[in-house]
Amino acid sequence: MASDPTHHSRRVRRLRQVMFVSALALLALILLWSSFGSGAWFGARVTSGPAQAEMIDAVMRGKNQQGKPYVLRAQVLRQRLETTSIYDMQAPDIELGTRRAKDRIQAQAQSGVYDQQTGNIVLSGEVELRQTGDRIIRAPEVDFNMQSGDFIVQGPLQMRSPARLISADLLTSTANNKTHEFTNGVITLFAKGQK
Amino acid sequence: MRGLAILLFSLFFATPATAQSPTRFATSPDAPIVVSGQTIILQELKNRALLNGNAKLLQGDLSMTATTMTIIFNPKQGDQAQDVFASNGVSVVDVKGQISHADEAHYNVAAETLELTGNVRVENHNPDAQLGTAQGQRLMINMRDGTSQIYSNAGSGRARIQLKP
Repeated sequence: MASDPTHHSRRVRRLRQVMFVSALALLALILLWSSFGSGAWFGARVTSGPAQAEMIDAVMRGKNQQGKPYVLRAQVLRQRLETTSIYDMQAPDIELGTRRAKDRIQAQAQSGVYDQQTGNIVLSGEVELRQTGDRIIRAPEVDFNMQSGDFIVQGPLQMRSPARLISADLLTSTANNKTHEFTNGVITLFAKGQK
Repeated sequence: MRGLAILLFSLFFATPATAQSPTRFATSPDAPIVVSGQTIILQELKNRALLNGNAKLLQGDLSMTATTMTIIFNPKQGDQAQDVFASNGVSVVDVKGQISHADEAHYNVAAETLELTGNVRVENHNPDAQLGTAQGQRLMINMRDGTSQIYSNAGSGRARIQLKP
């Protein structure tokens, strides 16, 4: 039984149309992703407007200068189109170092500004920074560098660990030599069993 | 002085001389230790914290001030404070009005002893207290019960205590 040549060509035409639209969509997606700096950002939904590009549930994975893996997450990520390396983040969540690493850092905040060129993130609003060894730093603002792991904490801040609580106006922390310098600091040393 | 006779003991012992202080320091060994300073440098790799500028240690009824302090932590015991060293203009004050001055101090937290060394002078500003002043080269305070001993240095062979009869 011979096939209907008209029916076949309609199906092919429809297939061609679908393929054309798909190719256009894919191209648009690639172009949009490439506008996000190095293209390392991935998100659940991407929209682009005249002044900024926005990504929902954005994730970026990479390695810093010291070879430590990092993951940056943000509920909402907006790229400033006038300065393409700078991103505004809502509910940022940072992980630097592997789960087993002794110097792993995790940080969460209400908002943040990330400069991809310098690797600097300014975290603001109820910032919580956790370090290995059950150490938690709480402060209104933390200036964190993803490349070096160094951070500056603007007070009033608290650094709490099982053995001590440190309150201060300012903290400058250097990852390389694991040194923390507090300005106007008060340390409460807990004896065993005290909290 | 009115109503106040001063009895001076010069206590000679085999070297070095020791005098049991006739008064107790007010101590609170179970209270948390709170230390403060203009700058605190926490050096994790060296398990220590350096306090510079108006360094102060407070533990319940007793406080100590100095220009600089160093806290040594014990990583084997969960970073508990092990020793506190103070230097440059050390003063120890308790709520009973006793003020002790020295060049240096060492608070051994685990052993519960506070040792003051170098030009030690204890002044009592409490009118009801028996002790007036005490001088020596070393003062050892038992932080558990507040008792203390003052020592001379080996060369001079004497420690001095002034009592208010």
